Amino acid sequence: MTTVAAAGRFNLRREPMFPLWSIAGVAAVVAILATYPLYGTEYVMNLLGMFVCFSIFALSISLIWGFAGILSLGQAIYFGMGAYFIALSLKLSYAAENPTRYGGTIPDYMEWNGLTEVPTIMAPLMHIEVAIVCLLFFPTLLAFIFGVITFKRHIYGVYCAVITLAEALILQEFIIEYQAYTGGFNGITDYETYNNMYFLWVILGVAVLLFAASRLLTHSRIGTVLKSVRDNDVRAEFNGYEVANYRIFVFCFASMMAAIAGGLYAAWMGIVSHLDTGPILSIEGVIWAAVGGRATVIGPFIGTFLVKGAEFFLSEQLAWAWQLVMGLLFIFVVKFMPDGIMGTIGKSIAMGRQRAAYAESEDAFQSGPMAVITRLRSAFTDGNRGFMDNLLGRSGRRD
Amino acid sequence: MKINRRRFLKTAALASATTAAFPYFYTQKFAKADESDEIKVGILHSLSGTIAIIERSLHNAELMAIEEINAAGGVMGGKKLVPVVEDPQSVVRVFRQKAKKLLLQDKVVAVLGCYTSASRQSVLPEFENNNGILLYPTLYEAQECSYNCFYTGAVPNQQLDDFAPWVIDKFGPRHYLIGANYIYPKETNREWKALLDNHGGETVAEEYAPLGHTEFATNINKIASLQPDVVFSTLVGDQIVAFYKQFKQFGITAEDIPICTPITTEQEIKGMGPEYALGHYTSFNYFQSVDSPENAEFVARYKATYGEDEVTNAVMEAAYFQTYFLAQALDQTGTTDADALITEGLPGQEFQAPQGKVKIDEKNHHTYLWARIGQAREDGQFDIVWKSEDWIRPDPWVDLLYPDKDCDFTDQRVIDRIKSGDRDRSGTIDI
Repeated sequence: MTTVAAAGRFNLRREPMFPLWSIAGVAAVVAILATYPLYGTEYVMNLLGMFVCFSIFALSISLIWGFAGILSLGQAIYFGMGAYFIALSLKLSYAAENPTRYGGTIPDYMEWNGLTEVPTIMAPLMHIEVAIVCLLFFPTLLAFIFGVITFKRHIYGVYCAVITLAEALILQEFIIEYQAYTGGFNGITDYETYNNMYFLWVILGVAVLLFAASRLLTHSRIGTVLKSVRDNDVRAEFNGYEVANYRIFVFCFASMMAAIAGGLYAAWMGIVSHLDTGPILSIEGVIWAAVGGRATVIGPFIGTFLVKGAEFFLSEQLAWAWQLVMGLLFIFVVKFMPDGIMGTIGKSIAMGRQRAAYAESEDAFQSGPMAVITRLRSAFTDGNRGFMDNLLGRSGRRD
Repeated sequence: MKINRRRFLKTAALASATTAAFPYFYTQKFAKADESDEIKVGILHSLSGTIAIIERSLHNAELMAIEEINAAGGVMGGKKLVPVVEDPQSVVRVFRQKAKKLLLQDKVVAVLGCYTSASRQSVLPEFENNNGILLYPTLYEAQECSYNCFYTGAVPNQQLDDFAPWVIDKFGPRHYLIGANYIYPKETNREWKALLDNHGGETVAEEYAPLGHTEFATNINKIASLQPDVVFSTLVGDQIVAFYKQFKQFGITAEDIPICTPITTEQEIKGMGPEYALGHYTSFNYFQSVDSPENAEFVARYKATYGEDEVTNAVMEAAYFQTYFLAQALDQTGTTDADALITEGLPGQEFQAPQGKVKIDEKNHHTYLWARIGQAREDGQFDIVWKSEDWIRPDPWVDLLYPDKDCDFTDQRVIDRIKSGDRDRSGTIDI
């Protein structure tokens, strides 16, 4: 179409890294959330904090799926690892500080499983600093190993999805099986939780930082390469880019992000179970990213709040049919908004801009001495319209 | 448009200020007045997800009891019980959040809910932090007693203490133990092994299958080669159906080696088909075939409300009578104050339940229940082959395993600890 050609010529303005509307929007949302505990209920505050943690998790999926084309159905592995490190740490110190609670200084589930003391390998986790370092290091290491094994061997796409899904299942089984260390099926609960306004600010601060970091990453040179890898990895490789390295990098980055989200989640919620590491949460994350817009950094936040919010609202109002309504909502999004909400909005804005740019160009070159030259030039270059149409400035649309 | 720092700060500050103010006025609109002629009761059972089948039956039984109570004139001089139903989706995280919602937002007087130990443990801190009341209807592994929870299901001593000697006497001393790999089966088996020691039995093997694992060929091969007198099973959920089926398909009948269990109910037998459970034994407080006028009425009303082919089971029955416990406690104390209900209203409360007369223990928040042994019939119901002469006192810290521990909320140490605002709200003491 002509519009495309015209836009290519005239819409040279690059989108700024942080457009004004996005700064205003983020600041507004952060302000609402951060002040909510002052006038809202504790229950809703609890939900909001959880939604933000899940949003960070969905953002990590967006980064690898929407921007780099890696569909992982096991991203909750990293979320769960982060969550378990923090939950274990809080549980160990809680048990040590409250000896009357469990009749000993070790967590209740360890006692049930016949342990008499905390295993040496886990003891250092009692210090939260150690747990935070573990949270940052081990999930990233695991992601790196996974990346080297799969991406370096050119395992992409659906195979990668299946492998990650299997990984999530394995980790889940592992946690259930080694219940003396992990709390097994019952998970880890009953420890000191951080469920207050100040910790909500911490969560929001981390979310904003990671959001900005993701925006920087996706709009940098690396981001451009990643998008080209997503769209056509063979061509990107042919152009001299080591595709696997880019994928490994973004995968490690996203995994660390998911682990951070998990750690915040564990401290906020006061409960972690095997469900937080498994395929179900992973796939839920994929849905949040997809609904919000997987190739945008704001989309995961909107998708998570929308889907989780609707889930909680509907399951209260329509306890018997909420799943049906959610199902219809997903079908609607997939059918009519395949790029998700933000993706669709972004596209229509871009299209509007292109139209505007085209209209501008028509105005500028419709009259005056330059017009003849332009028309002559475009008559030979724009193959979509007939030669005479171009020359005479006719629209060429015959509908 | 170029963005400099001043513009950035200005925009951000303006946007923050306006939007932060907005919800304040918005929420003001929704501040509601208390409706004083209604008493809200939370119902917290999964209506979706993996454990929804059994939990829905508990949810149904509780709603039915509430309806009956309201039809009979309500509580506290004509106030109606209003159920607030939540669906925790079989996910422990959601259990916790919904519990929080019921306590803080709906301000329910008590919550009837949970089925698995995992879900109970996930919500308990919430009840303890907000001084709520949870009535929990499931049989469980015990070793717990929370100030804010009342346990109306069986604990191991009520199901096993009489069952073990009866089984050894009738079938023999060599027992093969199989269970799901989590806390309930492990604790139950510990108790069972201690009972075997006491009554001259022995364990020939003890094996655990991962939860959700439904392939038992290797276990059944082992059973066939070991030839124990009894298989004692603590498998749960779908595993029960799979195990009984594969057991029969292998060619072992109940006459050869009976399966004895404290878990399998009419519900699971309905799921597998009665021919697979035929002749095997279950120890429970209640069976649908219990012969009492209360039970006849309970079963008839349940079938009339939810369908003719529905079956009742022990956990449901507990869900049903615990609703009455709550209503009676409200009547008796005349208040919805949590501490009054916990210390005066609920302890010692009695009710003529379908299984017989039941009572909440004055000291430990658990419930006096009857013990019965049933043998599965062709129609999926049980023949009750043995029944205890009296109700049985619940002992959450079973004497056999924990002789030096007990649970007593009337003990001064516990009262002081709870009054002092300690986060530890368990009634466990050393004796």
